[in-house]
Amino acid sequence: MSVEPEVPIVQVEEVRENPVLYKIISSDNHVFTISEHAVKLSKTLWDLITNLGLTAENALDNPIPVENVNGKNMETIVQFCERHKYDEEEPEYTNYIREFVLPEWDRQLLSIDNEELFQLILATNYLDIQKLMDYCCRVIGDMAKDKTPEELRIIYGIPTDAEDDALERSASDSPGPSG
Amino acid sequence: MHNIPKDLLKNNSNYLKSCILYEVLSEKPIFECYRHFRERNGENAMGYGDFEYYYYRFYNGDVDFEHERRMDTNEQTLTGLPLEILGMVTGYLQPEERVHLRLTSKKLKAIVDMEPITFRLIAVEWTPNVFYLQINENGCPQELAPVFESEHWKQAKGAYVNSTKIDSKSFPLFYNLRCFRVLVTSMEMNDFHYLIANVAQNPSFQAGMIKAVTVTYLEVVEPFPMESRVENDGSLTFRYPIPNSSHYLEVKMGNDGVFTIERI
Repeated sequence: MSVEPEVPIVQVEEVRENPVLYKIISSDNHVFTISEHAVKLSKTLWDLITNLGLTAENALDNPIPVENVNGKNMETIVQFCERHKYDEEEPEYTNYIREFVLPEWDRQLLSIDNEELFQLILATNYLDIQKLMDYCCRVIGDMAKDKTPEELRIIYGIPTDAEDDALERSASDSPGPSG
Repeated sequence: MHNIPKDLLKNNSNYLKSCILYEVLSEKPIFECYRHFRERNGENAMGYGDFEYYYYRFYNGDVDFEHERRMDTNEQTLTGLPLEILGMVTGYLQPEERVHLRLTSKKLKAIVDMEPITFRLIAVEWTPNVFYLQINENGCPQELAPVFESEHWKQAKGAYVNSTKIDSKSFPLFYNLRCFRVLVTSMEMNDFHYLIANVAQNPSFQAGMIKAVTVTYLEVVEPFPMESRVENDGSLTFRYPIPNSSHYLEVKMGNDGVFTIERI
């Protein structure tokens, strides 16, 4: 791979030490640098790096294209991973209700509208970043606190049963693929 | 009374944006802001999606009134997320919030019900007017809620009931549990016998403890064929064979009104 991006490189955070750096290209051709510790938080990216055999010597010459994630989401993701790269490992999850306090820095990072948040969740799921997934889900869950069902419908944009039925009817009425 | 034509204002995008900016500066939670915005400008002044969009733009310092939200028919909504992710999201909701989400639509009800929840603990306490229900570490007082009829009760692995309102007539509530600890005001031995016979047929049953303030020994309808022995402290220990099994229940009847049943 030797894709030379035409858009400027986005350096999200000054790195303190001299770690191995990787380049990631988002679907809209923004280029990000990310440190080795940070990129390890994404299981998908780290598997890719391992499988591609990228090393400290050749990492920056071989940008990794991520076609499912746009630049806006990737910027948030890189910021998150750099912030949390030295965190201690989380204890294993049980199927109990997950209770933890969302740190203020992360709450600020995730102060975005629902549409962006849902897009970020899809990107996070694709990149398999457990901690960010937890935090995003926590933010969505917190929206439900002390709300009535009708208020939840407004906040989450949930269609009523009648709207769901109408949508299904129109989908079944529309002509299907020929053949 | 002012003479400002509010309907005209509702169509003025800059006016609506300045209202949203005002709400952002109030530093109140977003939905509280939206409620206030609607009270001022009418229910149909702006949908939540648009309100939220401008709210967070302004919140993040992007105060540009010229900018208009791009109309996109493929707007991503919660119900548009893949089922697997929706299931994860509902895993972060407290039981009461899950109930509210279930009530929004049939589709959401099905999604919420897909994600099983297991509670570490359900504790119930009565006062004369109020039920105190504790699920895991979270407690909430409720008006005599039908907790015992809820699915949560039926799927609970264990229960700890410390109440001055129940007696041994309530024992059937515990037939299906894996373990329980119950305080009852009074206990009839017949009810205790039925409890033993029923938990013996519950394959998940492990252990139960009952503390009875008073115990009445009416005529036993159908005495069990149980081996018994008297312990050193004067308590009685019975062995009740579990039908079609090599296991048995060990039933201890203490002198202090404490009765234990344990699967051996």
